Amino acid sequence: MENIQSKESGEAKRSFLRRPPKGSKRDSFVRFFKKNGAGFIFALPVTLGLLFFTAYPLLASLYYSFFESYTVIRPPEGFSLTYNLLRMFSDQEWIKAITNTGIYTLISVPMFMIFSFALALLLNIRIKGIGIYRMLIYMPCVMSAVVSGIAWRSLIDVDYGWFNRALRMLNMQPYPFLSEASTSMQTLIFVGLWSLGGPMVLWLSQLKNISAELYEAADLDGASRFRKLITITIPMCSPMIFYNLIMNIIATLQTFAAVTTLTGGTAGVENSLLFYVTKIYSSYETCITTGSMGYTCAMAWFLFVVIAILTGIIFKTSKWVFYGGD
Amino acid sequence: MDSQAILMRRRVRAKKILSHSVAHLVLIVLSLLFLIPIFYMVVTSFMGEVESGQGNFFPTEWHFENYVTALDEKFLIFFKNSVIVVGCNVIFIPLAATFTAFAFVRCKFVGQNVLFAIILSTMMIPSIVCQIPMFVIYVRIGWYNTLTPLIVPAILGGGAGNIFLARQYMRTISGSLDEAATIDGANRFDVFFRIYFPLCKPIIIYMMITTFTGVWNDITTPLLYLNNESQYTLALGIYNLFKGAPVPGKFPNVRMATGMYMLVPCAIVFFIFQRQLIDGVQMGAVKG
Repeated sequence: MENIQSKESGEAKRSFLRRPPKGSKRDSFVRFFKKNGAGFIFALPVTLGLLFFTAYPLLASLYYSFFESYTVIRPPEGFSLTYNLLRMFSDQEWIKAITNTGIYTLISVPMFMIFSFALALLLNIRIKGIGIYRMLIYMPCVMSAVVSGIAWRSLIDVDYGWFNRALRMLNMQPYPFLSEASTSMQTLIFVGLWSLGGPMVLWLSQLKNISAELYEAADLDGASRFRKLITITIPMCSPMIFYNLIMNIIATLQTFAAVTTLTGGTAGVENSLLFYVTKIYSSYETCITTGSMGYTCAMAWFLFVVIAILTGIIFKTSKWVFYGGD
Repeated sequence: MDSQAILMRRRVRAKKILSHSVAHLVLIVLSLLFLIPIFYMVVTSFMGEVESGQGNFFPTEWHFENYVTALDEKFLIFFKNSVIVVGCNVIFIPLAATFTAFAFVRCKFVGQNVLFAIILSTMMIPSIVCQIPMFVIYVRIGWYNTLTPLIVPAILGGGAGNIFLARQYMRTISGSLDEAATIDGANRFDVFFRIYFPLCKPIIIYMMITTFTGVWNDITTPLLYLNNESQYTLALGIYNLFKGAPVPGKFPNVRMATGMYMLVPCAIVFFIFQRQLIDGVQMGAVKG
């Protein structure tokens, strides 16, 4: 029965699609425009935007990165495929910047994901006033990098900051925070803990989407809380884990505003908080006088390639992501 | 038997009360910890100079005049610039994003899927890669040190993330509205501006809020393209005012008051639109 019906509709479709008698070239152009025109018009702004603000600068940046000297005012000079690449690997600051950024990404991405997930689990319980707790914990995320930079620089002041005053009151050694190279990175991560509210909200929205039936079934089987977390909650959240992992890695490798506002525009003691993008910025600020525009672009492209490779690897190994039944 | 059951029930209830109070305790402590930076700002902004420098936990005298001191001439200029940039972005980004989304949801054209894939993949490009050559162009066409570079890119497309959100939302609106209106003789623009754009209101509000906070707080773009104090936005102005060596300036009281001016608009927006923000996060939650 079904078969016959589908056959009939297929035939109807075919006769509908049968080409109308061939017209002139102009006719086919009119037809093409009638079919596509509206879409083209609505897609025009974004296409222009992509061409002017993404495609052109992306290619221009690649082009400049092959020149030894470029000062914006004069045309680039000294084409060389490897000059800027070799310069990067012999630049101590660049090595420091990429090490710092790598270490920070390796530690902070998994750590913040796990902490914010734990926080979301905690805030997912049914209890009176949970909405207020959620709001309060989210509150610091309302502070922008600039504002939190202002607040935190005073809060972690070695002599007069609240944290060290509290430590002294408890008869403990004051913590050096940003005043020593060895504790700077830890301080940055510590301050970052206050912005866990943002990812927490994302996790919460995902936790809400998990159907209660799954948990009820597990309860009937007498599963423990931990077992339910491992076998239901985490697999059901895996698309969000996947999405957050990629987005966090891309964003963390580009860390700039959070660190530069905390250090007040410096790279920290002994460059302990020199990040990759900070390095690009500082070389960009001086590139007109030093003619190192090509080098700056090369560093930026290197970052792009690294991000593209990492994203590719994560996508390739994304078999663990569970996309539900539909 | 009966008494035992009652005892059981009582025990269960006691256990529940205990676990709830432990949860409350943990949550209260956590909330207080998370509020430290904001509490510090509020309290310090009312202190006298010396007191704030010493890092007292509470003001002995309340100095409300810090908030007047913070509003100097420069601040007002920065504020005006921020209002212009934020205003333009808040208006144009949602408009541009829904406009573009309409092309992908209610239109058909050659290369549609390819274009959409390209738009999504631009999210992967670090913004710094494109910003440097753009700087060269802006210098050449005279946009450097003007607010234009902070506004024009937004009008063209509205950003990959917003386009994606708008498309997700628009797909949930029934296509029969479009068909009915078209039969009645409406052209594509009527269909978009009169039907789909108003129906996208929830996601438009979400985009306006996120754009507001994002642009209001943005520091990287202004840092690149603005080098003249009279053009600074509030975020950049405040950042430059207080940057320098790691040792903060002498008196944090006015600094915190200035920061409060930066913080309060975002906090107000957050409190008013909490519901919409959470709904928006859920709409954007990826499903594959």
